[in-house]
Amino acid sequence: MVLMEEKNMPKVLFTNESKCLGCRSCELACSFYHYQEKNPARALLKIVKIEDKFKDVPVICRHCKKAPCLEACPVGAIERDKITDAVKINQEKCIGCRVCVDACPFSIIVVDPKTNNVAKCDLCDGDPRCAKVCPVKAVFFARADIGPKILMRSKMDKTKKP
Amino acid sequence: MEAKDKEKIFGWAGVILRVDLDREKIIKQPLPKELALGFIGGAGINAKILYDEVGPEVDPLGPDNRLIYGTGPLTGTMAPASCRYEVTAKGPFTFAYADSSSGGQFAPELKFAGYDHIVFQGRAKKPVYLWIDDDTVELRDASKIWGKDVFVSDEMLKEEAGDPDIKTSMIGPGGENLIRDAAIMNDRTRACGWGGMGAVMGSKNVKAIAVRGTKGVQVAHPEKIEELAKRCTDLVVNSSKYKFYSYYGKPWLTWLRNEKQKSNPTMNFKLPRVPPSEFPKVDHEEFMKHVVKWKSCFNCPLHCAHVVKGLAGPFKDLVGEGYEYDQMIDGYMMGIYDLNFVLKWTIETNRLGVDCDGPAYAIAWAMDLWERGLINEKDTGGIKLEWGNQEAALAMLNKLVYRQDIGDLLAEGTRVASQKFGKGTEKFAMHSKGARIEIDPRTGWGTALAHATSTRGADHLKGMPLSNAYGKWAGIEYNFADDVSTENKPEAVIFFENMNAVIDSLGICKNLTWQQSEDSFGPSEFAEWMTAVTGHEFTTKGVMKIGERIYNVERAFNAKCGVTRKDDTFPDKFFNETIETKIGKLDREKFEKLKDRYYQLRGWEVATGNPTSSKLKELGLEDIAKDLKDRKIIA
Repeated sequence: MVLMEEKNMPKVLFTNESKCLGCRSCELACSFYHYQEKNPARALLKIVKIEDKFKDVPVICRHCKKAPCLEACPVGAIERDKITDAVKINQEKCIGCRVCVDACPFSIIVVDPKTNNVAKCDLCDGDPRCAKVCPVKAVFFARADIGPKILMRSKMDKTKKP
Repeated sequence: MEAKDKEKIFGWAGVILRVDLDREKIIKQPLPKELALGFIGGAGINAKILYDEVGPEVDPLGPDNRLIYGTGPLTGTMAPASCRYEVTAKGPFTFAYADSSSGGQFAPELKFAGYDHIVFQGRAKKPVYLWIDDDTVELRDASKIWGKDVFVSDEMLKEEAGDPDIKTSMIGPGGENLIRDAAIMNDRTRACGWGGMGAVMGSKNVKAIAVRGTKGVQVAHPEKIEELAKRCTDLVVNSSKYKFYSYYGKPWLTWLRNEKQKSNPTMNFKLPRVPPSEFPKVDHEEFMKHVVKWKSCFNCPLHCAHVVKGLAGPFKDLVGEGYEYDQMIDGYMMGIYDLNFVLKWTIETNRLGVDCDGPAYAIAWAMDLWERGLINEKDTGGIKLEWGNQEAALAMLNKLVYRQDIGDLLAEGTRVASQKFGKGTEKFAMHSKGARIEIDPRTGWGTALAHATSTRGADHLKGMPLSNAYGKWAGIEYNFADDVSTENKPEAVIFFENMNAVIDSLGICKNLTWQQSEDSFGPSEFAEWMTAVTGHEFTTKGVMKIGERIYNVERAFNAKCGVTRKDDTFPDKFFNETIETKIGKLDREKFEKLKDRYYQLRGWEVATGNPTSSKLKELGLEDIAKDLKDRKIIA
């Protein structure tokens, strides 16, 4: 009999900014999964386009281990999912004060343009669609300890390829 | 509830925005169902609106012309590269049909705000821009932005909106000064370059459209979309041309044209191609040394765009985007074999809001005249317009955009400029229907026929067979790279013209479809997408029939404006001077015979190239048939 406590390393999202093409497929797939709508304005991650510097920066929720949003919420409406380890908003408890928006160091807790509610990434219940559609793995989903190795390999690969 | 759901429109936003600039009125018109089902959207619906509302007497730069923006039902969906919009108007070059399309991020944003088309009519009393914030649409004063270049205007509009994420489509000084080659620019570095759409916008005193859209696109069958998107993306990524396009982007074509086909527009077509000794300095491999980063338009897995850096000379460390095959050709046309210059040229044309190619072709024509002693420093305001002179080319571009000295003449494009200038310079003006010639027609018969019959001037994006898709479609052996034989060429050109009309109407990019690789996605997937997105049943054959209908409307508009078979041709040079390509020069008799067969297969009148009454009726275009009959253009 094998008795093992379920304490696997969680899988998390990583970004690789140098690869990002700025195509926003991730935003589209995100809004489609969450709202059955093709509507990047409602996406829970964002490609920030800094046009004059030709930069595209993928900004995602990092589901911080010590999540400032979770700590800042005055009513305990932000919770950690026991299965996916995702930091999620409980809309039933949320009072809409938007303190979490300010607390987030990446400002990636968004205010939904349709409902005026705060919303954030929930890792699509363990199968993030953004990582699935990214054509160049600028956003990817990997075990927390393996992601950095993938990034390292990509950064050390000096051949010019998207 | 159920009845209401049934009437809900999917795919299309369902609204045409009518902007009457004379009366400063904005009307939201419901998208008529028969227009949507009969013409899809984008280029198709644009063309029908243009035909219905603009007559042959209308001055392209007058208030009666229409400037029509159109997105497609797939724009903003998960279809690969669902990033395009189409702008259509009576063209200031061709004085007939003209359209141009562009990618980037603007088109999806317009769709997300809830609009399929925007039709501008009249002329604003003072400079205005159109502000769209979902349901809020208003004309705002643009006098502060008027006169500013594209990059600065984009910044100012974002500042004024208080939102750095809004998307803009605008003209620069080129459009404001009614340069016939003016482009409409969006996202700073993407352009509707062909056909002078920027000049039409400028003539209406409209500086820009600024849009924020948060409403998204609803689809009829969400359950089918993810699988369809995955399948099409896989087809694209595994297609035969993906490896070239995703790495080199379009600059790969410089090698194909110069080294394989042995024709490349160079020095106003004085040379057949870049001399092989010079070519390694300006080829696709050299280009790759300049690449810093790859870029994509909205939802595109192909990433054919690059961020490029200057490596040497006065433009060292300059960084820019939007650098393509076309700009490299511009360098060749002016005899400038330096890719650092091409980067500067790209940035300047984008900044000033002009097509990259048009001014280059006009300046190349002027350089040709300079060499022949037909113009001198008095005409150019002291500029030495010698082949290969980088400073002269850039100074001339500035004069062209601000209409100084001979620049005022060049701003009219080579056809009008050469007619005004006289002195036999017409024969050096390389145009077809008034628009520049994209690819040397002596490359092969498919290229020649497609360029001759294109409804918007000699252009490769209307009907040039660039893959073996026709063979796959017709179930026959067909090799598009065979330049020599005339067999199956009209059939292939017709197929591509129809298919491209569909693609331009769907709101997706041609580069990753059958147009480029027959092993990518094509008409049957278009029909699947249309069915899944709109909820209406579309078949492969039905979609292609719509393509034929659209192309006939474009051609009928040209017929109405007096552009007919006689205009489906090229300057004499291409019939008289032999170059190294497989067909050497165009044999006039063979060329005319090829056209005969093309018109026959199209069901058009062979003598005039005009659509026939029976063809138009077969396509459900009775109204156009009647109109052309009333005008005594067709029997």
